[in-house]
Amino acid sequence: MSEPSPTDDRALVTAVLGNVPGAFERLVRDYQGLCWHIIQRMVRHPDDTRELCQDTFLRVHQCLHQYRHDAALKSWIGQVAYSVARRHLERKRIPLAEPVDDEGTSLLERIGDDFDLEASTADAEVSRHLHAAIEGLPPLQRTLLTLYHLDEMPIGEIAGITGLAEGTIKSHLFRSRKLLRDVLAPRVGVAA
Amino acid sequence: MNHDPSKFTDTEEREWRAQERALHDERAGASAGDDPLIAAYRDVARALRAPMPDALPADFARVVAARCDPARAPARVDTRLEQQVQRMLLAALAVAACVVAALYGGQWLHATTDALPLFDSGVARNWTAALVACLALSWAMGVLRERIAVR
Repeated sequence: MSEPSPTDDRALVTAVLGNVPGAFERLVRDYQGLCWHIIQRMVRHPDDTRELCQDTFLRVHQCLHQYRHDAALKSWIGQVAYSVARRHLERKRIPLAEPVDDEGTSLLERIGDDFDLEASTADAEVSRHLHAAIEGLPPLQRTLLTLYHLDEMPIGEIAGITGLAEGTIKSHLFRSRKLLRDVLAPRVGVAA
Repeated sequence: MNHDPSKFTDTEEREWRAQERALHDERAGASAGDDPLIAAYRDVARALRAPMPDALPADFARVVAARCDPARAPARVDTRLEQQVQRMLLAALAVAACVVAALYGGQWLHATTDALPLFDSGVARNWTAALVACLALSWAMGVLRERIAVR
């Protein structure tokens, strides 16, 4: 799917606000993937994610008249999704982020040790182990990695969505990726 | 690490560049090089680019759009008259409360302080101040904890 241009965004927003039939459905279809990525990475529960995605778009529909086109529509919707997911975690008293510095050991412990150290450098095993490690990261780090890698968003745009400073995001990305590499290191023998 | 987390040392900066190089190579589908560090980060980048399972149902957009469509939304009951009457009753209640307070408020205050002299003492004022300070402190700690959690 190609990236919608600012002109496309403007036309789409005008159509939704003008109640043009099918316009809001198109908006939802264009941005539901991003919304799913953010919320699922934050809450990790498919049923909750589906419900929160719906809440996000209901809120987008309610507040679209407040959108001023000063940021891309994608960032604005991402911001709504992030705040909906964040409030959900706060209600459930789930911490959003953990300090990454002392986390290496706990992450390694969390993903378990049912892994054949000798024989399993095969791609599928490495990938399975990495996915388990990604799931073991705190919600904020998981979300930042997904937005940066899967949604290919620049750090500036992620800052707009999460309200974090660009330096903080860069630091989270660096340390989380280093942690994930450290998870692999004993298996594939990476030089530090 | 003891330094500012958003500032990298030279070693970290080199490793950050290796991470970014691996990400771009992976996106571009470049062939594997002989640097083991970049190769390891390419594994990480590949795992992070993998599509996420359990996506939204196929008819998600249609269902959400239908919920927001005023034409398909259930007709709303017109409650403007009830709201108007409710506002008038609330206004009348507020006026009545003010009149009663003006007429009898002084008497009630005297009767209360006579019955409970402690309310008018310095001790009561100190305890009230301490209670307000405790509430303010716990609210401020909550806000502070929330901000620290995000960093």
